[in-house]
Amino acid sequence: MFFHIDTKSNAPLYEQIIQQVKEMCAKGLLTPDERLPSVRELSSHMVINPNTVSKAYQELERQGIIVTVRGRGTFISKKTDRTSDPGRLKAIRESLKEAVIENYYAGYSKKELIKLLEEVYEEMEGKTDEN
Amino acid sequence: MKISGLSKTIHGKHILSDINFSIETGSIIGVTGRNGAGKTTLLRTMTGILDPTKGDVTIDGYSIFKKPQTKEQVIFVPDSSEAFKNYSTKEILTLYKNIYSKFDEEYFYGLMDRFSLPFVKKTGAYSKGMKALFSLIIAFSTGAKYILLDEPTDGLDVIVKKQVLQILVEEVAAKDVSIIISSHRLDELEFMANKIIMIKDGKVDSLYEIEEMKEMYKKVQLVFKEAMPQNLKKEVTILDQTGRVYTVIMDRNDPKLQHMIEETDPLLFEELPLLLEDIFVAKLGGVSNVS
Repeated sequence: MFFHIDTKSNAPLYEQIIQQVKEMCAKGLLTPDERLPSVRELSSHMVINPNTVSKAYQELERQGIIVTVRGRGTFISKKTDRTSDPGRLKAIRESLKEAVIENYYAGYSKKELIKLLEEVYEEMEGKTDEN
Repeated sequence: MKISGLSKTIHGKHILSDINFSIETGSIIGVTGRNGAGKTTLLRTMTGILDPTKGDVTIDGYSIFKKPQTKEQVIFVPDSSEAFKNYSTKEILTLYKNIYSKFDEEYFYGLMDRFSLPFVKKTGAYSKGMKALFSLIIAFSTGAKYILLDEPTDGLDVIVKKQVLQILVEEVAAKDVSIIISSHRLDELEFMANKIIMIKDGKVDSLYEIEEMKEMYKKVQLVFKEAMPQNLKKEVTILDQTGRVYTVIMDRNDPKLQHMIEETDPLLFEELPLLLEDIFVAKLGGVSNVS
């Protein structure tokens, strides 16, 4: 597991943690039922405010990515626990829109962007299969 | 813990004037300000080492000046202490055990062991890093709910510094204590503190929740065809200017200002990551004198 603070990012720290957990799940670096560090462990490791870690974990739990078992710790959910959330779909749509605009100004075509998206999928899935 | 209307005058000089804020449990609060702004005096008054000229410090409604038992819930760790250098580790332990009735001896030995601190005949023999760790170990063993630290990482090497900061964070996570740190190391406070209090000329200049701060302001780089228009200069805080390139702090949620900048048709208008340091310079900088 690798958590880090991106000081160049404007995203709040708790969002960075959320993003990093999601990315590690998608890449297969974190697998279902795997235990995450406790709030105390992770805040100590990153040397950050424990409330920031709590906030990130609460949000990850709300999104169904992790589950907290009392007295045992925090774990990555089983894949089946992934729920569709219309609110998040809207947010994904917004970030896709940004990517489409970026792509246009960078001088690439729609086809090239779709190809890129497929490549990213392959990259993620490829790594999942290996694990 | 509540600080209300706290003022302190020393030799006719107003060091602190009308300081108000409160501290919730389980939080880390950074107190920062220019040299000589009154940070140390504030911490010393909050622990009852100094009597305030006016105002009060209360814990759960009890004044620490009127009800001395309340002080058991507070401990102050100064940036350097010479007072105990001729005492042994054991003697200091006995001293604190007698002062703080909730002193956790087992916890104390546990931490001494974890950081491999030896028991010595004279604590003056500890190195600077060991002294810093030792004062923190004592402080966290007292069972005090409010721990006030004056420049806890000043002069420590990176490894000891990380250890010091890690115990701080772990204490807050595990025991719901509150930590008040005075520091110039804004890069350290940035991710550790949830609240920042900036002191200027003995007054609270600003008080931020760190996350709120990033929602309130943004840092941008602006390049104009010529100089920055005068009317715009009044609306933003200029951090830096090199020729036609300006780095400014501006209100994040002001569509009018956003529009105003776009109207000037800048060559570049780009957001940069905002650091606590930028807010410090914007709020407390300006004149480059040292007081």
